[in-house]
Amino acid sequence: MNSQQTVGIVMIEDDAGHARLIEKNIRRAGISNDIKHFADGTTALDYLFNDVTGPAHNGPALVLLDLNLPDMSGTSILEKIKQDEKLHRTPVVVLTTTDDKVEIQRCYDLGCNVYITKPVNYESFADAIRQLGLFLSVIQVPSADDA
Amino acid sequence: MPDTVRQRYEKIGRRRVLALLGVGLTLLVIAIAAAVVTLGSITEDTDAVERVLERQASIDSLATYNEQIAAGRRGYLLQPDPAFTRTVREASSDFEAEQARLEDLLNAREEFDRLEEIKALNAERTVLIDAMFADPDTAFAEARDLDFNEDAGVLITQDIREIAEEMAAFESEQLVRRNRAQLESLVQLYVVGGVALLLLLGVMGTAVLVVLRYNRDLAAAQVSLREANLGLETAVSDRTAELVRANEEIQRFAYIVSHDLRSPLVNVLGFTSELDEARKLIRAHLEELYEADPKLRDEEAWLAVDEDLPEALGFIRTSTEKMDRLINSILELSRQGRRKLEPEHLDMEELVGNIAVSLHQRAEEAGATVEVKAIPDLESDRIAVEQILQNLIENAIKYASPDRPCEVIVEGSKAVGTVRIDVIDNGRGIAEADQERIFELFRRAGPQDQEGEGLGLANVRALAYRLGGTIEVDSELGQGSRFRLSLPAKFVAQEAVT
Repeated sequence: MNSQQTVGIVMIEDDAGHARLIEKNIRRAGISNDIKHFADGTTALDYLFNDVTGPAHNGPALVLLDLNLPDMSGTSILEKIKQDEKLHRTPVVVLTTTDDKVEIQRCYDLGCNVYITKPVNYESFADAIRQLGLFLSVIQVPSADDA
Repeated sequence: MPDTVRQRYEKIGRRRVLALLGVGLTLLVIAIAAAVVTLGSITEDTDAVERVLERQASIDSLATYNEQIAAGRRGYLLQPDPAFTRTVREASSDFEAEQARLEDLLNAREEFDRLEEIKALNAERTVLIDAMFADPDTAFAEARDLDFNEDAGVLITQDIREIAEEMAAFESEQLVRRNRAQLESLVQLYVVGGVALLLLLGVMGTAVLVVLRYNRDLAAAQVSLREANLGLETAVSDRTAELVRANEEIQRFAYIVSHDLRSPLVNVLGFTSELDEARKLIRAHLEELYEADPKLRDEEAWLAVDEDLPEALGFIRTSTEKMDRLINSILELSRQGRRKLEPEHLDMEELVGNIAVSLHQRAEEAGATVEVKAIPDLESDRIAVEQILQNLIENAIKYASPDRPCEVIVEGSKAVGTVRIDVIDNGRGIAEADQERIFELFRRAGPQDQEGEGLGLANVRALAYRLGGTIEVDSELGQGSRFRLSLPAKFVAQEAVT
């Protein structure tokens, strides 16, 4: 197994603006990994589980997940990822606008690795994304095949 | 049971029973009176009968003495024996004594007349007898000549006998009449007594019926009351359930709305920052250009990049940040509305004392004093009660009057099932027109010289309602305010917690 394989970033975020801001900040943090953006849960799940280039069949990935999606709730995507035999070790970073403790707790219970609230205060949000970039650069994301 | 209804029932029952008792009492009095009257008349009749009997006896005696006188006289005429003289004398004096006694006993006019006749006859006879004893020879001669049956003395005796018989007959008749009257009186007594007894029984029966019916009505009323109560309880719990549902819906709505409102704000702020970054680049670039070639300098372009754009971006940012704070406030409110309330026993003096201690620093800075007086304990949700009182006391310190040192008093009192907690200050007060507004979300009153989003009192009211209580304000502008929190002494959670 090649643990140096590049980690693909899967971003599931329905708001184009948010997606763009996240991407910009990741790039600004010096992360050049491939970012795949999905605006709804269905196509994202399809990519995650079925696409030949997707993480289930090909290489490690990191999921940036928004909880508010038009077609399904982010937590159900999280649940599916964490219950899947191949994907359950895939790190999931939940990005959402809520700072509701109950919801955060629920995400951690479901196996989310990092929870980041999108603060309206842009600077701290950018900081958080940059730290996430840093985090991405140091962690070794296990490949689905290692499972 | 409502008082009026109870009074009506009581009145009806009481009035009927009283009326019946009155009738019964009247009947009893009538019966007793009738008995007394009847008894009186019976006694009278008995006395009258006794007197009649006495009179009869007296008349009999009189008749006997009459016969004795006649017999004595006749004997003396046949044989002038002193024994006959004695007999006649004795009988005569007895006759006269009896005559006087009878006169006392008599009561009827006819009888008096008859007695008078007897007296007159007797007097005549006495004269004859006296003459006979005075001159016996003449008397014997006359007696021998005359037919015995024509003798004056004999005739008188016969007359007296006849009159005495008449008198006796009259008295007998009287006796019969008196006896009949007595009998009639007795019959009357029995009739009156019987009727009164029957009526009394009737009254008693009716009274029993009335009481029974009254009891039955009462029982029916109680049953329907219980049913009404049950219906009321059902209605209340239905309404409560509806309200709880509506409240939950509002909370969810607020949560979703505020949550979704934040999303676009992230973009607005994010891209505002991006714009600012871009502006900084352009500004730096222009600066370089102008320095290299001052001829290129364009004042308008420079102003736009150096002043107008930062100003505009600054406004966008502060406005967006304010909006974010407001949305956060709604989120916070909705979150509190969803929190499960857990009633526990609260030592209110300790609780308020702790709040006062936690606000000590702020109070000192503002030159304010907080005095905690006696407050009854209650059973409620600690966090909610703390939040309410914290808010009220903070407000009291915050909106002090600039003219005098701020004094805050917290005191409590107890009403039926309710504990009232008053937070009283001598602060700047609230104009009457604003006294309802201040409880509305994002609304504030008076000079806007203090920080705040207009959230505190809205939260206070929402919490007070959730705890089953109320919050009222009594204030005069420039004089101070009194906020009165009324909470049930024992909070019972009614909400379906989701």
